[in-house]
Amino acid sequence: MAERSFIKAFKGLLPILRIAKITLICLVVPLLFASSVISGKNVRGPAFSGPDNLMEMPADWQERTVKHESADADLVVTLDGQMYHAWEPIIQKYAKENSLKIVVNNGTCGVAAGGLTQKSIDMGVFCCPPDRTDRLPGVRFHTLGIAAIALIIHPDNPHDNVTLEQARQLFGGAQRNWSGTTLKKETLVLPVGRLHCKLRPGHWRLLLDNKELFSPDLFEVGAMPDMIAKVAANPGAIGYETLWMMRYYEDRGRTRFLKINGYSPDDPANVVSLKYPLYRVYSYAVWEGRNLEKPHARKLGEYLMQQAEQLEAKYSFIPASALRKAGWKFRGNELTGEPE
Amino acid sequence: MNTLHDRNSKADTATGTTPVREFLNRVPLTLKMVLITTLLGICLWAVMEYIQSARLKKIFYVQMFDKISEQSMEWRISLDQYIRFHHETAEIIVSQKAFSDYVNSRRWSSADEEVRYYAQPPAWLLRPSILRSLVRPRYATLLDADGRVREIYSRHDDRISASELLHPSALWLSKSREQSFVTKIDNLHYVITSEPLYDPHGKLQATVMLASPIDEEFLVSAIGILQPGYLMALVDHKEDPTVLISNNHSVLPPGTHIHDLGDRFLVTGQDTYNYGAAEYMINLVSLISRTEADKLTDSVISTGRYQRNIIAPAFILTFAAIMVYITRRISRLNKRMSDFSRQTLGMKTEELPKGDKLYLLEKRFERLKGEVAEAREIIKKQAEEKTVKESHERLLTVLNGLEAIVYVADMQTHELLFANNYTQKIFGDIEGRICWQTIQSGQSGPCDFCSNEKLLTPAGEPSGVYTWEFQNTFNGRWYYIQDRAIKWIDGRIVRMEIATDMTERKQSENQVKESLYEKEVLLKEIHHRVKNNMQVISSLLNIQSGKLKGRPEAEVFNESRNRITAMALVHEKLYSSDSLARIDLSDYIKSLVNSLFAFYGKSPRNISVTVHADSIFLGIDTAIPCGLIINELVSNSMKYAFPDDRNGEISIRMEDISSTARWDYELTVSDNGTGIPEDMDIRETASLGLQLVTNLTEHQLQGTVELLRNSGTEFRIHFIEPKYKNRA
Repeated sequence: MAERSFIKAFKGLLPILRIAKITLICLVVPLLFASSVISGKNVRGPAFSGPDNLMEMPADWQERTVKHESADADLVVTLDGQMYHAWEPIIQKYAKENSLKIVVNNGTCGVAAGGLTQKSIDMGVFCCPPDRTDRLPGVRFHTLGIAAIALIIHPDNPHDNVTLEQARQLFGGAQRNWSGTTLKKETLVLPVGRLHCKLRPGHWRLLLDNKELFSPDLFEVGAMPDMIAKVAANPGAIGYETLWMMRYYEDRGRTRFLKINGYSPDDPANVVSLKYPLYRVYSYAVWEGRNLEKPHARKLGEYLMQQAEQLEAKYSFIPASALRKAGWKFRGNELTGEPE
Repeated sequence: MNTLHDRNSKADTATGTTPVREFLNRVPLTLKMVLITTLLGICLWAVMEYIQSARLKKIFYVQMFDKISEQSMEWRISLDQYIRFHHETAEIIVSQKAFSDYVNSRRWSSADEEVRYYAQPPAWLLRPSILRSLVRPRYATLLDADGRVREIYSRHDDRISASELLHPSALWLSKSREQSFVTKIDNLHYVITSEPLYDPHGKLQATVMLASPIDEEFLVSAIGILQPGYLMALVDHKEDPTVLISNNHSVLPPGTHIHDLGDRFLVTGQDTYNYGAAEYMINLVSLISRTEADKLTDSVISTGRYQRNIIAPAFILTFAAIMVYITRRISRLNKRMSDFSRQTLGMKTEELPKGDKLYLLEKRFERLKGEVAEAREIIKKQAEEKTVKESHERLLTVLNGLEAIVYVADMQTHELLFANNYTQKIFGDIEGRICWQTIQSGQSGPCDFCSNEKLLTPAGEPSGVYTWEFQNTFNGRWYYIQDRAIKWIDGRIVRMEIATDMTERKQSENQVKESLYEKEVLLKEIHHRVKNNMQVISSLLNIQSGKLKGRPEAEVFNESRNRITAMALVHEKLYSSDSLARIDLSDYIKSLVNSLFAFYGKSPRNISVTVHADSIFLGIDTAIPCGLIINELVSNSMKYAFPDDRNGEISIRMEDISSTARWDYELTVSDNGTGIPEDMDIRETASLGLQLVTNLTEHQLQGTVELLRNSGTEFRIHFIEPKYKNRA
């Protein structure tokens, strides 16, 4: 009797249970999906800064004109180290063709920014998208193109591919060993980072936004060759560097790159379509406006834009024109956003 | 025999001995080898010293360079970390409750309030023990919410003069947030970092800014005190970099050009703090003194040198001991060779002088070689002499046994060197005497008929055997003589004569010759008489035919007469020729044709006859049938071929075809006359002449006759010359 009444009651509950199940599926699954997306977005840093967010500078600074250290130079250009080897010969060729004396310094984004801040250079070439601190009054950025940032590993590491999430776990310390590989079980992951240009958007911040998201075990190196040397010397290491620099510093040690989500960084189409999500942005900044603008600097910039279209393949460089075609967002000549 | 001294002199000349070599040869081998080993050892030692030192230095420099490069990377990382830690330190300061409590407790009233300095860490800063384990900033400034510096901790208790630090710009504050920012203040690089404090509503309350000049003290704090010999410097980023700061200003003062240090230091460098947060590129250069590297190298080299110093003398002593042992063995071998030379070869050996035992061994070996060769020559010569002597003895024995005169005479003096028993029986004991005085008689000097000149070639070599017959003037007997020049046992060229007595044979020959001559005369006489008889028969037939003149029977007699003439002509040719056996057919045919011309009254102007039978000689048994055949055929041509005195040609050809056919001869008799009728068969004809031709050809000559009617008449007869048969 009791059994019958229980079965009857249970049958009465069935529709309610069905509704509850459907409701649960409809609510929980989107929530789970949303949370994963949100979590991904949380760790990924900004790719670009707003072009309108300019640095405020004192009036006396704004009145100053550009003054070179080298008095007889027609132009002074500071190139980031990523760009120097590829672009210095191009600039010198331009100088020769136009009978100009152009002093080209090998530096960093910081040095280029410093040169602009001090108004001692006519052009600064950056390997990162500009930050607000770079957006000085009178400075205009022109994007030359982008290049993939490869995740690099030791040649003995049998891994060929990781998901972006796995890459974040490897650098963030959530995955601490290389399980499921022919590497020794106890081989710990050694994330190697060069957390340069912390204020600037893009570059490594597309992987993890800030230094706090990286593993406490992160081994920080200061220079690009140190990155290559460190990864090449440690079977469990993982680092990042552009393909060109990876090749350029091959004498420091052999490394190889990983695919992300099955997409290789050496295929420009993967990068342009953002299937391969890590890249750095190359731009040059010149002065605009009264007392600051120099026709030679502007023409040199236009020349660099032209040359970007035909840069040798070894530099793995994707010119701005290819990005425009693929729907990347530009304001003027500056790349300001990824395609929708 | 050459003396030993001579041989040594020759050997020395051959090897080109010089006074220096002579001197060296006199130096004992052991001493020499020890000296050479020592000299070579020293040279080798010196070369190894030089090569190893240079090589080791190079290796060391490479190793040191690698090491310093690695060290440099570590230092750069340490320096980078120390710079970065400035910001982390600022974060820790701000995150302290003590800091927020202090800021909340402070009420900065006006903008003109004087900045407060601290020589000891103030309450808002970290405790000294914590600062020591993080970074020790030169200056820590506390800024209010408006960005004005209110309080300063100065580790050196000095006052800040730089307005950039006293009144930091918004740009500075932005750039130094979240990172350590490197810039230049008053030509000195500074690390600057800042960290803000916000209230729960996100409103800025205060900012901590840390600033440290990058100086020698900074480097020591970041990297520590370096080992002696190691140096470190921060240099500017130029093609010709100069020192900004070093850990040892006495050795590397600021402004030193790095490129000038290459002679004294191994240098490697790389840019540091390459984080994009520095407005200036600074390279960290690591240096190691080459003197320090050389010290390390020298310590290794000196160890190697010490080992070589021990090994080299040990090597020389060992080698000397081995050489002493070898020298003793060589001395013993020298003595054994000397004994062998003296005892076995019977050579007189002289004691060799003292000196290089190996050289003496070579000398001794050279001598022994000469001695052995000499001994072999002697043995060979003795054997040859013995052989010659035995051979000579055998020759004399053979010659003595011959039943002929055999003697040997000197070709110049004519002295008889040997005469065999047979000769001595005839001429007595004549050895040692002169030949022309003993073997011949009546000679006042060498014989006119002496054959000596015929026995030698113009070069004076024996020319072979000269054979002649001679009647000895001493005993009047005939000899068949064979003379030849031979080499006598003493080496002289002498004349050897072997004269066989042929007196009896000579007599028999003379008898045969006489008999043969008588037979030849007799045979000629027979032929002559046969011919004469046939001439008589021919004359009788001529007389008979004359009586039958005009009658057909006369022709029979004439033909018979011609046939007998043909046969008689054979006999005439035989007895008038040198040979009684064979006649010259050409001569015979010409004579026969002439007689037929005469008989038939034909003129050679009308009928020309050509005869081709040169060098053909036939015996009588063949010549007579041939002559009869030719007689019949030519007669036939003259009678019938050229009627009415027509002109024509008759050809008689006899060829020896024995080499190409089964027959010996081919006789062709042809004319270009009217020709024999086609229906006439030469074997069935009534003509006696043609019957004779076929009968004689087929039965006597065992041949064949063939009639050809091409252009006139041609008889072609093949036959074999019958062998002579003894009719007796």
